[in-house]
Amino acid sequence: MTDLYESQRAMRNLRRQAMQRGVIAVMDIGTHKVACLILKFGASDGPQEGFGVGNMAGQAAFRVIGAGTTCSRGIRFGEIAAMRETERAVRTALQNAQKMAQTRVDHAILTFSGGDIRSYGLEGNVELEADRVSENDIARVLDACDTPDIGHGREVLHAQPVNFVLDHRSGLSDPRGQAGRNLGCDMHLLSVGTDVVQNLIHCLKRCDVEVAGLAAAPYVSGRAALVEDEQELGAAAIDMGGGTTSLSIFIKGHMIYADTVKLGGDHITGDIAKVLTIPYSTAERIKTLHGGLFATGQDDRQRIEIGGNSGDWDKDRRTITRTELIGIMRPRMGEILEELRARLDIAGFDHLPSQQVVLTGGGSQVPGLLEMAARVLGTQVRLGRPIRVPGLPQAATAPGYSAIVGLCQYAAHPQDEWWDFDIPAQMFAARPLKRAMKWFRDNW
Amino acid sequence: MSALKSRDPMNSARTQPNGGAWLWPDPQEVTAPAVRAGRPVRSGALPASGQWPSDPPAPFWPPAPEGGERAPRALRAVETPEPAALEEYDALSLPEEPIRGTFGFQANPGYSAAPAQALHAPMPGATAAALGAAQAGWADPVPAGPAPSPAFDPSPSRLAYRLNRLWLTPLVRNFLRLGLPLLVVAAFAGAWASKPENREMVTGQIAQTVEWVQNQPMFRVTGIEVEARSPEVAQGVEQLLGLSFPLSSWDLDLTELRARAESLDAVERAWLQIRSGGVLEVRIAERVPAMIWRNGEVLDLVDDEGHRVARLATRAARADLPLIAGAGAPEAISEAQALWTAAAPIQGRIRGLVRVGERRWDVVLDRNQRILLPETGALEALERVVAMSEGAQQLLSRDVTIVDMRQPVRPTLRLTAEAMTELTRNRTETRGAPRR
Repeated sequence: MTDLYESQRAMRNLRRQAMQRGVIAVMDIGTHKVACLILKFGASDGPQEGFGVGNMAGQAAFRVIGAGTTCSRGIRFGEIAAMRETERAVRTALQNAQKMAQTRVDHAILTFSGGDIRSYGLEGNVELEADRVSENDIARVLDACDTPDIGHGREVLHAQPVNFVLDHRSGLSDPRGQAGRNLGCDMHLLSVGTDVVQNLIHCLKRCDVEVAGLAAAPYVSGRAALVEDEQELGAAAIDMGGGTTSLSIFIKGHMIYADTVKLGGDHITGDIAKVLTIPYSTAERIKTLHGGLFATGQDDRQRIEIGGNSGDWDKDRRTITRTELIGIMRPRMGEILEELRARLDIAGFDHLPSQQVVLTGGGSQVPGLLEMAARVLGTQVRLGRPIRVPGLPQAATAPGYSAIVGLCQYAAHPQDEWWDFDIPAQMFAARPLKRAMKWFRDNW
Repeated sequence: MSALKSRDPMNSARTQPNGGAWLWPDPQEVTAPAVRAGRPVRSGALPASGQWPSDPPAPFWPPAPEGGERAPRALRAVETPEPAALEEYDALSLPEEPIRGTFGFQANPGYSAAPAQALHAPMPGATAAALGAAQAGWADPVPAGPAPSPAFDPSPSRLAYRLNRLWLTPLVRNFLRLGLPLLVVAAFAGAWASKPENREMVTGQIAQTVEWVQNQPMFRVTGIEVEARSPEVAQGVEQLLGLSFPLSSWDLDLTELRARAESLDAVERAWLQIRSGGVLEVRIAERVPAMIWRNGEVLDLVDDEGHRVARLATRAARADLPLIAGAGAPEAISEAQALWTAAAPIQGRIRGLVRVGERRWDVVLDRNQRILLPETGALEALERVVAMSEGAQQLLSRDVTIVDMRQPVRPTLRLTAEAMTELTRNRTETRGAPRR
């Protein structure tokens, strides 16, 4: 635990250092695509916070100066399956972005959806030392949270305090300076497989880029796709990616649950390819151009040439109707949504005051998904696109980019994490002396 | 495309009856059963009997319009897609994505996200000749283009990536873009200039060019024109400048020439200008002589600042000017002028002013009379003397040799010897004093 604490602190220092230098890259390493944006901090000509402009969530501070996207290689389910291939994809995206930005970057913040994310809720409780809550008390109460057994070979990706309790007053976001006696805290902890993270870091290191931060894809895509009141009132963001579909639940501005389903758009493509015996690339194109989830009479008449490269005239001249294609895609999408429904039930989404579900990610662009998701996930479903950040290319405003746009926000305005507070080690050394003083005071 | 290509490997092995040119339908194939190479051929793929045997098979997609005759079609692979017929295929085909890999058999779809082949794009390798031949009558459609490339990998190699990053490093980039070319140029220039004959050549060239430019007609000065009040001064200035024409205006240092012209005593100020037409114009302001200074044996004209103007041959040449004498007289010429003005009533009698010991003035009159003036307050002293001589006393018309005003509080007269004798006699007579 301590070495992770140290490494997360080291990453935080790297991020701070990169921001001082002014340029940092954010990368989304997904199953379908590897995207990279280069952010420039400091010099911003975007809208400033002030009269008529609300809370910009730190967006006024940065500007996107470079973007590169390439199809990912060697990645399955959001995890690296072939390191060299992934390295090539990362190099391509990085080089394109650097070429566009005309600068080199040495630090990157990563997001990924693999690694079997698991979510834990922790709570801790301490007596205050003084009559007011100090920074040290916050660190102590975070330290007092009892760490669950997250399993062997796993480590903590996020540990975010989401709520503070001060003498039966709950729902405090910042208790510092408030009077009280007993401070409690709720923390949301996200664990992830160590090897997955180590592989990613190693891959970036082979590209001469240092990892200055890590974020889970459901968390950052939720930050980008959910509007502020949805984050406050409670909503679930569903990021439908290529290999995984991830899910995060937000309430009161904090993520309280995240999970991933190892099913995604690539499985739909695979189904199409297998049923029709066509290459994956053709299946992907047919899915993208003609895919749908609800068949109509018109779709029976619309024929799609699926082609092929066999050299057999008959095989290469095959056509299918759109209805057939929908018939292939629909059960898989239904499976994904049912799986999501099960995860939402596990998380207790029904008990939230607001049942808003926001679908985002590249997979959410299938026509008819909204109607289908409304049957499974409840009526309050909408499609989400990432928020606008200054300098973002038009091509990167699609729903498939909500994770990386959220990562931009995360880079500019990181959420307080456990390791952002000093470890109260010095307190332990001071405690015996203090206890002796207290004994003296009590007995004399 | 695929129909023809699928025949390609089969038929190429066979000897063609007409010298390798394609004949379609192949007589062997026409007679062959509907199963070839173990694969059942769909009946729809066979040509319709109406077109048989001269027309190529019509594709079964898109379906023919109802009632209309099916137009004979050339191979889709080599024809230009008709916009109306292929409207719905435009979405399918990706024209910006060229076909990669081998024809017929896609060796490796590569790593691009987009499909590696376009279904209905014309074959990129097909030349115009092949296209025409194919449309005319089923010629060999094998493209004559370059050999198909291996799988396309868009990712940069590790070395290319590192070099790219190095190139984007500002220090390296600036050095390579600015520093290195400058260094190379400087090195070449230095190596070239290290040889003395090169340096000499450069300086020679420069001098030659400068000379050529300076000798252009527009810079040529052909004459001098001196404007002065007196022709003597004009001539003197011209001689003093000592210029020999023609010469270039670049060679004329007007400042230096002006200093030289002003070094002439008679010149107070000189203006030099190179006028159009190549004339050096010199305008002279002469000094106006105010007094004559007897400097030892010679007579000099001096102006009202005490500066020498010219030599004077005789006093009579400028009888209108007052005469001063003595060492240091020109330096005190302003005082001399004031004295001269104050002595206006006796000007007719004044022969000159003499500076004594470079500190005070004597006024020399005719009849050997002399007025000695003090160092300070000389003007008042002279005015007193003039008043005494002009008033009832008629001082200077008497038998006085020297009016000594050096002590203003005690003016002293020196009489001539006769006057002294007469004075003594008078006193003796009037007072009865004994003869001395």
